[in-house]
Amino acid sequence: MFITVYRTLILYVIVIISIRLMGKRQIGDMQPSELVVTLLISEIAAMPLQDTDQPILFGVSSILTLVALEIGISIIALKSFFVRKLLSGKSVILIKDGIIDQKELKKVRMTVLDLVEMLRAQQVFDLSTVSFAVLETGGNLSVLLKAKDQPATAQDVLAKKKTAELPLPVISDGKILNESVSALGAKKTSIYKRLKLKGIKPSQVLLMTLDANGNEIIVEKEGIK
Amino acid sequence: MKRLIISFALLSSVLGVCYFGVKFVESTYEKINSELTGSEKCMEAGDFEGARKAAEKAEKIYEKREQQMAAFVNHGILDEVGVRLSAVVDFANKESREEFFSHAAQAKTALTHLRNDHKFLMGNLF
Repeated sequence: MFITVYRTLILYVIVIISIRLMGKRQIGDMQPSELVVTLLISEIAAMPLQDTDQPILFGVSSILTLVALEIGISIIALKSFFVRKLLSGKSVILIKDGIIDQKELKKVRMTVLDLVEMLRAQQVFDLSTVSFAVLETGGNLSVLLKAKDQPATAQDVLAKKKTAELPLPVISDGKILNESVSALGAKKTSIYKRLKLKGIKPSQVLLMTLDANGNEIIVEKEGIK
Repeated sequence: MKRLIISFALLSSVLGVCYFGVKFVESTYEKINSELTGSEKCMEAGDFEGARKAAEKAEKIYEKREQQMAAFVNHGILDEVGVRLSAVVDFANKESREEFFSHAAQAKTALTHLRNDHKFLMGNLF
């Protein structure tokens, strides 16, 4: 019985290493070849787990072969347009100036209702407002609205706006995150000073975020004084 | 490129282990098969003691190598070969010629399956 646990641990480590080697991507963002490899890896990893008669090496060798192939081919695809097109296909323009390209829609085997649903997911409810809608190789729909229908930006209304800075978590569960602090060009002491001004100890902080403009958000732990 | 190097390094090491596994299984097959053949020859000649000794030697070699082979071979096939070899030894001890030859042939067939499972054969590819 315990052997199943050991085998699971080994395969868990192998699968994690493999997925990390292949890089971070969400299922929805995957290219077809990446999706196939990910599904295959999960399937192959399950086989030696279910059948303890199978040596774990069967699964490991298959998984590593797939990972090496996937990384190798993705590097080739980076350099060759032909390979990229072969593996991932190409983007398709489905709507141009508010008019649906029905031929292309048929080619990608989508119904109009699917298209309308995808538009709605992009907050587009009126077809006539679409300048271009492109079905990407990953299966997502990218939409460009007509100029008159695009939401106004700060530049359009001539508003002066401070540059937006990315807030980084500097304290998580009472622990200071040195990487974030140095990325902001700040020092630990300045973080402590900010907390002292508010009468809060670092150990009482559940989350503290800070951006380069000095804007902070502090969430205190519940029940700790 | 770093990822490619790491993945190929990992794959190469696993392929190295696989290559070692194939060679190990092949050498085990050769050794046990020759012992079994020797045992059969002794039995044909009426040398029961020689047949028993050779069969026991084959079983010992197998028992020694079974643990290592388990990393490369389906455990079900390994068990089957083990059972067949034990039967060969058993019938050599009992000096039961017909049963001995029948089980020796079965053991050889199981051993051949064991070796062929790792060979680069069309049957294994498809």
